Amino acid sequence: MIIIDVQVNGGVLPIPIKVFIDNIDNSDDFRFTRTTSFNEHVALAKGRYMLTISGMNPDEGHTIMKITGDFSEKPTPAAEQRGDKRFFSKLFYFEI
Amino acid sequence: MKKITLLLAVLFVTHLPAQNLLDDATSDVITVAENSKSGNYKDVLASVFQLAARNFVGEDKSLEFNTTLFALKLKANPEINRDVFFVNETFSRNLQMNFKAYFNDEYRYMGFTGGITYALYNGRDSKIVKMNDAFVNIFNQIDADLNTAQQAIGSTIVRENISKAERTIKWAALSNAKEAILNNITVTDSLTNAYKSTMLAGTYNNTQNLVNSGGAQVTTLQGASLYLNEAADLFYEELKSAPLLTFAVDGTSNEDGKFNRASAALIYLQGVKKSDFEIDIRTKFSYSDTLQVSMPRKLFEAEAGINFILGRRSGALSVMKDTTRKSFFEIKSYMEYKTVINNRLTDEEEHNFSANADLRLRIAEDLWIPLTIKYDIENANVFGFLNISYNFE
Repeated sequence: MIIIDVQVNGGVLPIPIKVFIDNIDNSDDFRFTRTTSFNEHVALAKGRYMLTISGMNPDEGHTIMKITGDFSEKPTPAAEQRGDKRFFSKLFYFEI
Repeated sequence: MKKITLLLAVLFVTHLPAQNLLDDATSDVITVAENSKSGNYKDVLASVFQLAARNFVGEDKSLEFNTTLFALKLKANPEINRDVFFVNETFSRNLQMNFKAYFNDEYRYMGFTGGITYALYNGRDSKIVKMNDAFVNIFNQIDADLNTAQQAIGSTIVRENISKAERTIKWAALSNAKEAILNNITVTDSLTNAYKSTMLAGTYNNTQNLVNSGGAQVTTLQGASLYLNEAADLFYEELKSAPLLTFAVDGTSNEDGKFNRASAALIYLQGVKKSDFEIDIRTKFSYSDTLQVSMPRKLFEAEAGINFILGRRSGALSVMKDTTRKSFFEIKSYMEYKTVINNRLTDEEEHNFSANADLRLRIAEDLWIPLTIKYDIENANVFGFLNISYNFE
């Protein structure tokens, strides 16, 4: 079980946020979109994952993305990342 | 010159504590947002905090402070900056509070004005816009192709026999490479650049089928990203031309604290798409009772003109598509009509027409110097008023 926390600041999202969870060892990938900030629990089987959160910030706004949960290898390059460019995309590699 | 130096010093000293009014993150956001706006627009509706000294070389000086209710609420509760709360703050973001203190030639306090400005219609609010389905579709296609590219590189990173620290650097570079492509920006880090080049060199299903607004086939990922960014630039550029209608009321006291003036005003701004012109129409009704013997006077004023943005800081993109460019020189030319509705003085004309020009020069990041030149059409007199206007966070 992991928790994906995404908080959008400085306005509303011009386009929906896209979340892509890639199971590196098989094709059990997982995708969803959200139109506002969210905090969601996602149940994942044991494995190695690349999780990508992408979207577009409000005009001159920013988005904070945080992944928590029970990991055998914690999210890298960082469990919490900030997207402050117009289009943001942050990658989290972790193992469960 | 001494007076100018003194007032500039006052402005900068006053600015120092104000920098802490918002947290750093918010402050940065708002600074960038402010850069692309015209000085004329900021004078109508300040989105953050504005400090202005009016007519500081003339006899009747004033120091002015404007802020929105949202900026004050944000100081007390930074949570309202989050999208889910932000959408409920339309009223506070459109309500500006204005305070103005008056001083005579010897800098003695002569009274103050307190008032509010409300944006009845603000079509320029870029923070609550939604892109259309076509734009979302372009983003989705590019994002899907970039995910495919990231998957391919990521699957090699996990197989490499390297330390955890080295792997972390590679994940960060891979993440940054995708973000750089999405934003169509260059990067200096060599590893990020290498990943970026690898990703751009690939052949992808989605972006190969993309057709831009001109009907041309977008054949590369880079071409698709450029198209996406230009579409976003154009969208925000055109938004600055949208109508803005504000209503303002204020009351003014004398040095003894007695209110003896009041006014109500309507201002309408409408830009012209794909140009640097802005139509500016203002009307104002005012009441005053400032003479020694009580003689309440009512006045009506109307202005209509065009604000021209003549100077822009050069940017990397073409003029119409660079939303980061800043206005640094503006001229507003307008006709002004004034009439005294009642209790006209003996030597005063009932109707007065003048042709005016406001020159607004940006001398620093958020420091404007507006110069108003008035030409009295009937009496052929020319007047000049030098002001200073400073927008800060």
